[in-house]
Order: sequence, then C-alpha cells, then structure tokens
Amino acid sequence: MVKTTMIARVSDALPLAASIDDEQVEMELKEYKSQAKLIFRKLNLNSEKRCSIESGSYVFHYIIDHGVVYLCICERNYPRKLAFTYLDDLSKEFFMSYGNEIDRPGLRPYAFARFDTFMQNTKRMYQDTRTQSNLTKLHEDLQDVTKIMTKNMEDLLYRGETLDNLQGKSELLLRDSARYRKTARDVNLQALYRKYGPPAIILFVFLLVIYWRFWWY
Amino acid sequence: MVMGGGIQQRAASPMIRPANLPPPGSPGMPRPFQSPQIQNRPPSGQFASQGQQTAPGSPAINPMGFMSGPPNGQNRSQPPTPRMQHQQQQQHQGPPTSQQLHQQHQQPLHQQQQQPLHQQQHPSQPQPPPQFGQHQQQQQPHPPMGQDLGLMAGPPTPTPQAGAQKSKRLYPAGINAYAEPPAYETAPSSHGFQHPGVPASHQASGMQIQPPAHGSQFFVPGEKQAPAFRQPVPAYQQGLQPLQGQPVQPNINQLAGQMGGMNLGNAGYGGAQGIVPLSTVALMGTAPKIYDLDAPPPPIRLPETASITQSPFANCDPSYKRSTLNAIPATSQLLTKSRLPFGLVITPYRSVKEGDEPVPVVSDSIIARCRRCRTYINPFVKFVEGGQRWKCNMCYTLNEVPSSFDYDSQTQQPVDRWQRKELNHAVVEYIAPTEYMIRPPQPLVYMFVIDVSYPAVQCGMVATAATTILESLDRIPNDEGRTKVGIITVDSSIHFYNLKAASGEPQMMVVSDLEEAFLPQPQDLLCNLSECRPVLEALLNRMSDMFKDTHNVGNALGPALNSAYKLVSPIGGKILCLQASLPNLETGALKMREDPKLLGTAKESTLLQSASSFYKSLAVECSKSQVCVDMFLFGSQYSDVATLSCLPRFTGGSTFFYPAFTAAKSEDALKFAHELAEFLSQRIALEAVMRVRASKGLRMSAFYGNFFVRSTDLLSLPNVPRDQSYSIEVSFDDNLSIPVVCFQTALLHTSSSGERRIRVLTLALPVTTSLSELYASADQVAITTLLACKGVERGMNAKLDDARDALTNKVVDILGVYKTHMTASSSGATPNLQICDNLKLLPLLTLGMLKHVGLRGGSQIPSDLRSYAMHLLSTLPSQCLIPFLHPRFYSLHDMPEHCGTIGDHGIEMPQPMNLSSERLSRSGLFMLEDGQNIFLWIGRDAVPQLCMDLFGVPDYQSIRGGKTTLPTLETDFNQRVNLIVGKAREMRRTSYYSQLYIVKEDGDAALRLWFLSHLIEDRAEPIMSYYQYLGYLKDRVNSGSF
Repeated sequence: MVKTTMIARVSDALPLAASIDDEQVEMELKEYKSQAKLIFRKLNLNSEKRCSIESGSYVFHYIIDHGVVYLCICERNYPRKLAFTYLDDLSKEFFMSYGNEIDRPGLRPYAFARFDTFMQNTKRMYQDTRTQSNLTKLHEDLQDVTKIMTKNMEDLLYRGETLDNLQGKSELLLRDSARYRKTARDVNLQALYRKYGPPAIILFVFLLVIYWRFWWY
Repeated sequence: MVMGGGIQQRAASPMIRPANLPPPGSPGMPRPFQSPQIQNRPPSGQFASQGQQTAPGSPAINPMGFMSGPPNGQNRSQPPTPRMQHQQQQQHQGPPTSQQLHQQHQQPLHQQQQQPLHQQQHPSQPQPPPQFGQHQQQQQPHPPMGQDLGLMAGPPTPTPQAGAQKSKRLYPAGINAYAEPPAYETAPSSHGFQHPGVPASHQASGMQIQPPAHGSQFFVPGEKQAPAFRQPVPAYQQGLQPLQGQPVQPNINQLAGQMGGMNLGNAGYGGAQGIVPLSTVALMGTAPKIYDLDAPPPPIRLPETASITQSPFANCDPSYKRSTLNAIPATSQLLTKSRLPFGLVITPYRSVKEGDEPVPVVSDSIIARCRRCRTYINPFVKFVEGGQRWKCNMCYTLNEVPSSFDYDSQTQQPVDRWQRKELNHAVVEYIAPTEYMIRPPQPLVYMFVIDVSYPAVQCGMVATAATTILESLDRIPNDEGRTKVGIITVDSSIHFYNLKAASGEPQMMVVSDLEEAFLPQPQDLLCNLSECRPVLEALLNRMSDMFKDTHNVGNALGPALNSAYKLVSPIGGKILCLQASLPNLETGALKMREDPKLLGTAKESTLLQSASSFYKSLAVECSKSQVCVDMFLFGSQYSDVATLSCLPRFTGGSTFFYPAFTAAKSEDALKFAHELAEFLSQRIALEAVMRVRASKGLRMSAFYGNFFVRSTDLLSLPNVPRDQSYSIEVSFDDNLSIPVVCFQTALLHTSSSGERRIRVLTLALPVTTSLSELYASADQVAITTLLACKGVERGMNAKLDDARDALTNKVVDILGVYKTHMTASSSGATPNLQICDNLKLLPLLTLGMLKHVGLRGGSQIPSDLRSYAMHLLSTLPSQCLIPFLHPRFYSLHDMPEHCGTIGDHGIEMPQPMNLSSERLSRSGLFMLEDGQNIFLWIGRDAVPQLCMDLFGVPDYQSIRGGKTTLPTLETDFNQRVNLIVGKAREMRRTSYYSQLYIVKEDGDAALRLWFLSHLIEDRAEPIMSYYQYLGYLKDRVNSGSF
C-alpha cells in the first residue's frame, strides 16, 4: 500500500505538499523520507519522467508533470501499475487546482498543504489492492508499466560517491608509486655500493701501496 | 522632564534616518551609514571604561581631554601655538563652569573652521602647528575608542595605511572631520584636504545643512553629509547621552544654550549620577498613587545610535517583552547589591486588537542569522566593512550580509536594505523556509473530551458545551480547510463517534474495556471539519438529549485522555477536556483529598501539588508529540484543579475553572459559553519552540509559565495560546563590558493558517554601572509579574508561608538597600520609608499579592480556588495581572457626566479610587473589577431613584444580590453603567469574561466578605492594612534586617 506521498517543485526541490502520516509510518519511514528529499534535489527537468527506485523493503515511485514531481513510497509488493495510476490521479487533480500558482515567485514551503485532504481520500481508494475497482485498474492497459525504468537507490545515491572513491584511490596510488620509485632508486644505489665498494677500496689501497713503494722516492 | 523630552525626540527622529542615500549596492554605499556609530561610539566606550577603571571625576576622564580643543575663543583671530594651547587647557582643568562648557563646546567648531582654512592657505604645509597640537590631544581619548571600535563598530581605520587605503570608500559623511583625526596626519592627500573643506564652508555659511553642490565634485556621495551632520543633534537636545556630544556640531551655538540650562556637562562626564533623575518619594502618610499603575515602564535610555535605523519601532514594545530593569547592571555584584530581581516578562503571542500595530512579516524568506550564536539580524547590529558584513550584537561575530539585502535577483533591481522590516522593527515575523520544518506544517486539530457522567449532565455542562461548540464551528480557524475535529465522550466507558458515516448520521462506538482502551476504528474518528460538518452538527444537536437520563457517576478520564492522545498524536493538536466530575476509574483516578484541617497549615501545599503522576507523565508525552491539553473544569464539589491543571501547565495550554457551575443560572452558562467560544476562535500558534538569547555574559536561569523545558533553554510549546505570559529569570555569567545589552526571543511556530513562521522580539537595554540609574530604571509592573511567578512556584513546592515571607523579604531588601545607598540617611532609623518614584507602588502590589486568593493565608480558601488563582498568577500578562492583584475600584453614583459615554477614546471610564473601605459610602454605588469578576456594591441607604434607574426596582430592599446580569433600561444611568461594565469586560487582551456580582451592604455575608477582601488597603485578618504594612516594612528596614 501507499505509505506516504510527497509533492515538490522540480526546479528548486521546494516541497509543495505532503501527506500527514500517523506516528508509526513516520517512525518507519524517517530514513526513507530523507532519501526522498535527496531524490528531489537530484531531479531536474531533464530527468526521466517516470521512474521507480528500490530502496530496502520499499519502492519509491515518482512522476514528473508540468514541473512538479509527485512521489510516493510504497511497499515492495504493491503493484506498480496501481502506484502510477494513483500518482496520475494526484497530478491531474493538483494541476487542475493549483497549476497556475506553482511557478509563482516567493512561494512558501508546503504552500499547498491543504491538498493533503484529497491525497488522504485518494490514498484510501488505492489502499486495498483487491477491491473491484482496483482490480479493474490493474487489468486495464492504462499504463505500460514495463517500460518504466527501475533503478536502485544505492546506485542512485552512491554513484557519485563511488566516483569520488575511485578518484581518491587513484590519487593514493599515484602518491604511493612516486614514493616507491624514490625508495627503489635508493635501494639500487645501496646495492651498487655494496657490490663494488670493497673491491674498489682494495684496489685503491693496492695502487696506493704500489705508488708509495715505487714512485715515492 | 529631561526624559520626556528625550523620548519625544526619539519618536520624532525618523527624519534623521539616512533617507537620501545612494542606491545600495554601489561600492561606496554602506559606509556612510556607519558614520553615526563611529562618531558616537567613542563616548560610549569612554563611558564604559570610565565606570570601570577610574573613579568619577578623576583627571583621566576630565572632559577637557575629550573635548580636545583650545578652550577660549582666541584662535578665532589667530591660531595659538601648541604650547599656548596646552597651558590654557591646564588652567581650565578644574571643575568646569557651565560657561566654560559653553566655550568648550563651541571650541571644536572654531577648530573646524580654522583647520580647513588653514590648510587651504598652506597647501604645501600639511601639518601646521596648531593642528598638530590638537591632534595630540584628540588622540588622547582615542585609544579606548580604537579598542572599542575594534570590538563593536567595525573598521576604525586605526593604522595610517588602512586609513589611506580605505579613505576612498570610507571618506564621505564627514566621518574624518571629527571622528578620525588621524586621517589628517596620515593622509594629507587631496582627500584629506578636500573633505574638511566641505563642512567648513557649510559652517561658515551659517551652519545650514544642505547638500553641498560643490562637494560632490571631489567625492560623489557628498550628499550623505547631511544625515551625518544632523544625526548627533538630538543627542544634545535629548540630554540623555551627553557623552555623545562630539566636538563638532553644526548648530552648536543654539545647543550650547540648552546645555547650560541642563547642566549636562557635569552629568555626562562626572559619572552617571546626574543622567537619570532619581526622584525619591516618601511612602508613608499618603495614599498610594494608583494612577501610576497604568503608567508606562521607565524609559529605556539607549545611546542615540544603538540602533542602526532610527525607526520608532526599533526597540521592543513592553506589551510583548519587558525587563524588570530597563538598565542592566554591568556586574553581578551591582545586581546583588541592589537586590532587585532581574528577569524578563514575555508575551510573545499577544493578541492584536483593532488599532494595534500588526506584526510586520518578512515574506521573502531571507533570514540573516549569526553563524555562531544563531541570533537573528535586528536593528541593533552593526554593519561593517562597507556594509559587506554585519557584526552580531550578542557575540560580536562578523557575518556576511546576504546579497539579497541590496539586490533583488528576481526583479533584477537594487533594493534598499534600510527598508527591510527586520532592521526597522523589533517585533517581526519571518516566513520560515524548508530548513525550519521537519514535516509539513500541521493543521489545527481540536479533540473534545467531554465528561457525560451524571454530575456533568446534571449541571448542564454537556448541553451548554454542545450548543457553544455548535455555534462556534464557524469561528474555528479553518483558512485552508484542513482543520480537524473529533469528539470523545466519557463516563464509565469511552464513546467514540464516527463523523464520516455513510448514512450521514453520527455513529457511536462504545469501548468499555478501560484497561486496554483501543481505538474502535482506525480512521474517521478525527475528521476534516469542512467534510464532516453535517454529521458533526447532527451529533452536537443531539448530544444534550443523548445523555439526559444517565445515572452513571463513573468517569474514566485517564483512559479517555490516552485514547484522545492516540488519535491526535500523529498530527499534534489540541485536546479540549471538559470535566465536571472527579475522575474515579482506572488510571488517572483521583480521590477527594480536600481536607479543611490542612488548610492554613504548612501541609496545605500538598493539596496544591499533583496527586497522580499519570497526568504529569501524560503531559510529557503530549509535549513530545505536539499535543496540547486544555482543561475546562466545572466543580460542584472538589475537582482537584491542582492535579488536572498539570496537563495544561506542561503542554502550553490553559485552564478554566467554573466553581459551582449550573447552567440553570444564565450568568454561569454565559460566562462559560463566552470563554469557550473565544477560546475556540483564537488564532493560536502550533508546534512551537521558543528560545531567548542574550548578550554574552547573561544567561536565562529560570523559566515560569506553561511550557515544557526541553533542553537547557529551549521551551517547547505544543500550542501557544494568545495572551499567555512567560517569565524568565536572568542571571550573570560574566561581567558586562558593553554599553548595550540585547535580549532576543525567537518563537518558531506554525500559524493557524498553516504557515511556518518565526516571531522574533528584540529588546535592547543600556548597561549601567550606577546604582541610582539601576533604581531609576526598575519597572515595578514587571518586577511584580516576576515576583508573582516566583511566589507561586515557592508556594507550590514549599510552603505558602515561605512564599509570603520571601515576597516581603524581597521588598524589605529593596527598600533597605535604597535607603542605605540612595538617600541621605544611610544608617539609623528614619521616620519615613523612601523609595524612588518608579518603584513606589511595589509595596502596594506586594501587599496585593499577599492578600490575593492565590497566596493569602488562612483556612478559608478551598484548594481548588487557590490552585486556579495560582495558575492565573503565573500565566496572566502584566496588563491583566496588575488589575488581578490590585483591582480597579470606581465610584459610580457620583461619577462625572461624561463617564459611561462614548468619548474620543471609546467609552470613558471614571477615575479609579484607592482600594479602601473608607471610600465606600452608605448611599453609594461602587464598582470593583479585577479582570475575572466585577462587583457592584450598593450601600444600604441607596436612594430609591438610583435603584429605579439602575435596576428598575422601587427600592433597595427589592434588589437581589449575587451573580446577575444588569437589566437594560431606558434610563441614562443604566445605559452608562452597562457601558462601563461592558468596557471593563473587554478592555484587556484576554479571553476571560468577568462575572458580574451585585453586593448589597447587608446582603449575603460571604459575598460581602469576598468583595471586602479585594480592598487591599484595609486590614483583613490576619494580614495588615497598607499603612500597617508600610510600618512593618519600615521597622524591618530601620532595624537593618535585610
């Protein structure tokens, strides 16, 4: 079932409305809600219009419509088709009610919090997947859900991080190799000294003796 | 006298605001605005250091050094040599006469005229001798200034290089002319010459202030000089901060005349002694001057340039926040010495009635805060570095000024930062951006928990409540259509109502398992008001009939509150609990514990403490999930107000108590209906937190009021009702070395229209080192409010005797210290008791507290009434608390003709009288009102004509005493009295509706005694009369026992 719904403006991730959840959901979804806010911040007008993102035991479904992103958090087993139909319903109603106000400058956060009433009612209609109306919706080909991309939350959130990691590691490697080169040169030099040092000294002493013996006087 | 002038001046000073400034954003812009600060900062710095380091009057702070000018008019004709100057000055180093002061003040003017002229005459000679001499002397006072500037007023250009580099930008506004003399020496470039030239030409032409046309050819912002020069003028006229008297004043001649008259020179430089008029009055022998109860608090004597804008709203209005001391002692020793209580009385969410100034709202969500101490930008910060940064006035950290202060990126237009509301108003509201919310702003939620047990139905509470709620449905704030409502009724079982039943009929569900009360269905018990309106109306219409035959005397309030909490806690909101019987089932059951034997003994306070821990722990839970509980208690018998008012106390709610309520009496029903309706229609604030920040060195140490203290200084208020007051005690961490102290209260809340907002109240107060100024600035009303809170706390936790003793001891301390340090008779007995004028009503108000129901001794007062009175004492704002302690008493039979008619300021009220039964006459009609009750006292020998005119009955015998409503008659007198009663009910910011009682002189003895107990100047066993009390205080003071 749909756990929670959030609506935000795509251009600046300004939250426009959100459903008010009961305490239990609030506790469960604390982490996921902050992830949703991260998603809002990553989205831009060129992002995919419809997408599902898996994260833990929940799935985020979102659609972007007229510069507004509608996102809901559902349980994994909730049919995607229903979730997207639900979001479509929301987007239609929202655009009809507040469409011309969305881009008003100086809009305060959660300016359309009163949309919650509609969200609660719609959510309730979609609550039970086995009601007749929902079954009909499932069977109708309203939505081609198969084409909607599914991503993984980790990929989405941590992609940047892996790149950073990689860069960090390569830098480390570069530094290490430079140090290795220096040490290797030192070691080579030492080996050279060790190998040719004693004979050279002996030769030098010998020559010195010869010189002292024959040419000194 | 001086003070009054100062205030007027301040109020009239907006014209001084630097209005003709260049468009902000231009590179050289903001500097000029600083000029006033820079000019005036040195005196305040001087002032502070003077108080701490040197004794007043010592040579180090001789005014001469500061005035820095050759002391006679000789150099008008020819500049003297430096040595000459020096000698002349030394001659004058004795105590200056007022004539000398004249001259000194005129002197700098001559310098100004001379100096540029001289420089122009000898352009090749940058430092002519006379100037050099001056500079040395001018520099003498400068080191402290430099230090101070470093602390508070931005870049002071202390080093030559800095001065030279920055001179381009810093130049205008005539700063250098007198505030930065080093600039002459270090930068005698074209700037150095040209600049003084401009003011000189002004002064030469009769000191007229006009934008110099020729000045602008050298540096563009020449016009800015006008404000800069005009700025300090009021400082002289005002006479409050004579230290600001800078040597250069354009119209100094005229001002100097005033100076002589006011003898300011002495006052200003010789210490703070003379600044504040401290008029000592004798208390004994005269009736207290009760007209001063409504007088405004002592003026706040801030330095003229403490605020960066000259807005009249730059400092906080006392109705929002007032301090017990309008001048803050610089050290904790001084505070301890004075024995004055130090605290704040805050009413952040007071109601705004017609004619009041609405709170300005900053709607562009640009919130500038100090990054270190999180202070919000306010009119008392300083802009430094050419306006690029601002210096926090609490912790002195430099912060970036948001670029949107000067440039609006949406309209691509420069904007004037001086128009911003947060820089002009001390009380502002910000619309909070997303960072201030962890979830969407919550909607309003009203959950009614109504007692429907036999006593409740019997007294008519259920019917009255149902009708009132029904009638108030339209008045419940519901701007966005999100408000939710739910109803639970409770007797020995809990009844829930499905407000969205398909049939359109309310559906009742009974849960009788109290041990594990569960919610019978997950939704629709709490419904959107607009959607469930028809069902709700049907339910409320039927409610009085539904239970009319009940005989159930059980009441399970505890489980019902738990269920209500479960319903409301996901969203947060309000639980209104209407309770007419003592809860007697399951958790939260209370026992009848009133014991007349305990009353009046040391154990009485146990009756004032909570009997069950359930309510306190529930309150803490509620506070966490933003649920507020309000209690409407109806007691035919004991109803344990002490325990039940625990819930509102920790959740920011309110308690209403209706002793011996019967709806059969229309007055009772009217009072309850009026208060409930007002309460429901209040535009309250939700899910709020409040924090008070203060300048470094001060700390909030104790909090009184209805809230829960979440961390050390964060007050959590699930709901903020209108007009509830909070008192906070302030203590010292460290001594203060700053001239101005700021207190900033921030209330982050959700308004009832669903907006997240921050209300910020900024109060700036001067710091003083003088005991006399401290006393002259003490606010007796705020002190009383704070003492009432402390007394109540003491009375609840310890003994009522202790509370009363503590109050009296406090007054004795204050009077004693005042006598020792402020009057001539420092030791030994004196025939009279003396105190400064602004504290003269403190003994009377303290006596009012001692005689008040909340704290009075004796075994006559039921603990319910006492608890309720204590609740009121600790939550009423000053405006309502003072009449509550010292009721207004009017004589109606001989009031002047115009009283009771509608005049210029609404309905004219008669003059209040002293609360003494001497004023009562046998044939008179008197009115006494304390904000909760109105008494009409009618004498035994009232003439029949009066009875006829007012009550429509032939004679005195036919008047019925007790709770009543005045009839409305055609007679002029009746209409006037009705108007006066009506005005008394609505003249304060409160939702309480005063009950009217008619007291006959020979009528019901209990009622008569109750009325007489309000006459606090009289002797009422066992407490003294006012004069006896004064005598007692005097004896204590004279014996030195403080």
